[in-house]
Amino acid sequence: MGARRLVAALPAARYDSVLDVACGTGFASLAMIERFGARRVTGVDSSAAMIERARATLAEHPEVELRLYRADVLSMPVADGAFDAVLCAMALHWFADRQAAVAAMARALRAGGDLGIVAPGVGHDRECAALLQGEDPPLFPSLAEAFAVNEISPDELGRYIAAAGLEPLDIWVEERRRRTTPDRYLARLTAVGSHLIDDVPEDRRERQLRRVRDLMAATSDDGSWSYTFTKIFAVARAPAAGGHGGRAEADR
Amino acid sequence: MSSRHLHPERIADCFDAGAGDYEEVVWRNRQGAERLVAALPDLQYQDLLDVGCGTGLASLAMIERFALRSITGVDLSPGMLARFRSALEGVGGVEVRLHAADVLAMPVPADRYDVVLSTMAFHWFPEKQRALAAMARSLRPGGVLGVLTGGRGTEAEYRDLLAGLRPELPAALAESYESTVRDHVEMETDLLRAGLQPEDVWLERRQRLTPPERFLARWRAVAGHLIADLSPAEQVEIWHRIGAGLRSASGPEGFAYTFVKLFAVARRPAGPTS
Repeated sequence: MGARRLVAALPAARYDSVLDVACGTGFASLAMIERFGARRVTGVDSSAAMIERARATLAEHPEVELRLYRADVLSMPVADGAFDAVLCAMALHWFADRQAAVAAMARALRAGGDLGIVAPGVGHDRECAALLQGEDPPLFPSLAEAFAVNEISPDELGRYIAAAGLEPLDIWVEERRRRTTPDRYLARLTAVGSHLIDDVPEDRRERQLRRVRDLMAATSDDGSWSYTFTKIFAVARAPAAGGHGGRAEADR
Repeated sequence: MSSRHLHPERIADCFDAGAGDYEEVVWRNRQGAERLVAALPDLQYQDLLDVGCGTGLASLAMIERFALRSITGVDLSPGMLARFRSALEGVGGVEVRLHAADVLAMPVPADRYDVVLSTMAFHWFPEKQRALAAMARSLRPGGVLGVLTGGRGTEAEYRDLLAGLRPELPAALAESYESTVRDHVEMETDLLRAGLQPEDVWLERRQRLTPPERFLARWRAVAGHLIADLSPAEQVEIWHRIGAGLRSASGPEGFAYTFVKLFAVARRPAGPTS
């Protein structure tokens, strides 16, 4: 969803070669193929399982030259200046050194190429954080802390982009309110943040999760759970002049 | 709820006066209209109703994306409609009807349109709930409504500046944001009350930096009607004071402010409705 909106927001340009950083299941690349007819896609992810998911997602486009690498963002096996577009969808917040990560993405861009980023914005899931911290003692303290650490502000992202020598075309925050069931919400949370709740011993973990679910259900008449969904987007361009002077062919 | 500061005839005059260079002054609205159109579900839209169409930014974006059969544009301002008509010259194969009318008195059939859009006009509708109901009525069952309007918190820095000016500005200016903008939760509630099913409702927030003169020109173009009851000399004096305030609040790169837009995509249920 966020990846699709990011791709929809890119300027109308020719993007033949695409680098998808932390490609996950490959949805950003798929959107690039569908909207821009990208012909060469390189996906990088630190998880082998995700690489296989991406391979399956993109299998419906055998005409696309596909390369998938298991690698960290700071050691991507790609050439400098090789890509028309570099995307990073919902992953920047996981990188230990965000500024270095954005700089690595910028290096992979050809002069005049575009970088697109979507990441968690300030205040996402704030209802959940308030609910956890409202208990005495707080429930899953690492989780609420992680919400705050995850979020990326426009100022922060703008600094990384400027430091990487890119020109920001647009930086914006989208805020939605989502309604779901407590079970579905907690399933998503435990899927992406399992490492954030396993500091609570297993027997207490189940009990605490039930408690959270009951608290969430009690916030509405019909047992549903509404929460704020905030994402930050950025589109930035590598300067056309004085850069790499045209597209390298090294990604072929 | 209606706003006592919003008068259709003054709004029409204001936008008539600004029609000539409107797109120049509000050029960012084009981008917003394109984003709204890009967010519509991928359906076969044939008949479009564009409410508060202005110079037709939303309709023109629709022509780019969909094979439309007809466009019906409604706007209070004949000057805006004339601009829209000339923008449509050279667009073939689309039937065009333009009406100078208020949203609550649109000369359009009920249960008719595949898609109804309103971009950067809803905040000027004095009776928002009735306006939504009127747009919902004109949709065919299963049809899609798309709205782009001012979001709560927009231009908060400017609103604070207006509130801080002494002597105090007319209430119509100082209170204008409170009565015109919405947030996504309020909009969802209003859509449901109008019998529509919200599909996606969201706020987009950007930081903007603009020369104070440019900010003032845009604000005069879209909000001049708020003080149209004052004498010309009084109006000039007020804009002069606001301009001075903007300049003193600006840094070397311009006036920094937050710009919030509210987007809503909703559907009229396909089944029989009450």
